[in-house]
Amino acid sequence: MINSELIKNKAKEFGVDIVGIGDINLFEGSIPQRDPRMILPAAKCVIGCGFRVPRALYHTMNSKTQFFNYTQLGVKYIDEEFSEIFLLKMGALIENEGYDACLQRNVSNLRIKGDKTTNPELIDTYELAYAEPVEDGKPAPDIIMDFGRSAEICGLGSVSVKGSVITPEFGPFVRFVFIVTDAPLECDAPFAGNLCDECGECMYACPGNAIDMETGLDTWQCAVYYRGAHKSNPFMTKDFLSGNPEREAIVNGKKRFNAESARALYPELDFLPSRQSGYIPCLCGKKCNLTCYEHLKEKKII
Amino acid sequence: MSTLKDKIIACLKENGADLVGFSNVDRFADKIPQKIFPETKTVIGIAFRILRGSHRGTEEGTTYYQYSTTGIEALEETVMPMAMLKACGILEDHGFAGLPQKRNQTIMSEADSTNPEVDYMGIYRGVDSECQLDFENSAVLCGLGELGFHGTLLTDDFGPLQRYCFILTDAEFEQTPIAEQRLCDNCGECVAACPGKAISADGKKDPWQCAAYYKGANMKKNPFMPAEAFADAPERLAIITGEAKLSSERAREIIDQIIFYPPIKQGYVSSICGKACDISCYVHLEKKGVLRKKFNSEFRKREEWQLPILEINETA
Repeated sequence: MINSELIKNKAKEFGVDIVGIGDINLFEGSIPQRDPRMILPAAKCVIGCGFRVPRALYHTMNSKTQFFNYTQLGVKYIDEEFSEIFLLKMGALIENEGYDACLQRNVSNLRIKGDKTTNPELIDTYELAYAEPVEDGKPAPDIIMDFGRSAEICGLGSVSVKGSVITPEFGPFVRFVFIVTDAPLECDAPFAGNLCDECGECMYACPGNAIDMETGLDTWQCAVYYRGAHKSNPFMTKDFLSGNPEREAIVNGKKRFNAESARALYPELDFLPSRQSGYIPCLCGKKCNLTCYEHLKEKKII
Repeated sequence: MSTLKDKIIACLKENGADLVGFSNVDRFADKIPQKIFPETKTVIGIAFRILRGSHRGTEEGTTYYQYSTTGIEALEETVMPMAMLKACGILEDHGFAGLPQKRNQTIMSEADSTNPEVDYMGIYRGVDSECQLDFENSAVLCGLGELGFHGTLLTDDFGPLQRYCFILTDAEFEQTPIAEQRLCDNCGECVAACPGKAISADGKKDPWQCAAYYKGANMKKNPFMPAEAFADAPERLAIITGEAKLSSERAREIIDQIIFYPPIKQGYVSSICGKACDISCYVHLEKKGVLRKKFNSEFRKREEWQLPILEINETA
């Protein structure tokens, strides 16, 4: 007989580090294109699971000794392989009990209709601009769950000023997957409080000035500096953008980018391989998350 | 003490397999296993379920990404290779050879065919020297299930919802009986469900027709298609209603114009038809009550949705 304890024990056995179960009713008020009830109308709960990202992967980027492994293992492998193997095992466990399991891995390269942001981790993202609802009462596909809000509902952590989920166990060094199911599992309480104390360390750490304490993360600005447009990028050579009148503003993180200007600069930001996997090597070192983690440790919040 | 067969089955199941069957190589009249690996004595067939929940988003018309990733790509490229490699390791540890056989998605011996699941431009055609098992026939010979009217493997547990791979080995095992033909009743639901009429009355699938409609050429079943799609095509209405009979050349041209939903990784095309043939088959088998794996509720909750056909420049 399936129950919450079994699900949590199996989830950990299959490789996740944290797991919580959120009541589907707490998604009431979500915008329909983020609402898991639109994926599985009979859903009773959402199982949220987090995979830790080894913190040493951030430290080697910070010490400028190694960058590629963070993206290959801490991002790509977790999202594309580890999480899928995990989700399929959990899905089979749930379906063996006669319940549906709708697996929700990170939809990294898509944006719902109207969402003009991007995902800095990918070569590029695609907005489903032409999507239309298939019936009255349904939103335009695809439904892409708000992973931050879902993690809060599953009791796993809270969303920071810049939009990262911070967990008590691993700070911001976690990646998530979810399972929407009609299995009647006992739910956890949503996460109480906010681990982010709005210290602003992430904002100061970003070499591209992509974080604003009021408006959060500017994803296009982030995408440019994540790819290494800043002068602290050890792969940058003297002839980078030579002849470009905006070079100094760009490498000092002073220029503001939008979708068009960011995409125009992408071809120049080709410092490490990305075409094979589609994932962009992180050359900012995710300083936002690293400083956040160190701040939370120092304050004994995590 | 567990036998080698027990160890192989346990290893495969631990790594995500749901069904395992064994066939003596003598069952293979086509001699393909022997051609690939002359010492083959046994072909091990391994099936991995496609979660019913992976089809839920397409059924509701609200999410497409998760079926193509978790129902196809993750199984083919991540889960199945790992399971096979681990089982081959066990065979080698016992002094036998284990040769994993994954479906070649981008190599085919036919000169002008295609595989709807991948980008047609990435396929190498007319390649005879890269041997490949006849996957459907091999699955039947390994006792995994029977072939349905539209050529899909049907199993007692999951109906048409699984993918499969094989291991050739020089180890001998007691073979699995061939499954009795009991699931497919030639109802024709698969033929009727295809939004591109890619399955003929005799159950034969036209791969190019399938490829165009798998990718979403039928406006009635593609929520991502704008009204201006195929505006310059003289047979626009026939294309977007699934009535057009496409040659391979025309199918290529049509496929090139279906750019409303991006591909997923590793060269896989996102399925916009949601494998309507397999789903209609599953719904039929579930209704008949012949599947061993039961759910607490039926998959199809209401009548299928269908979008209107829009004139060019008309808004939805």
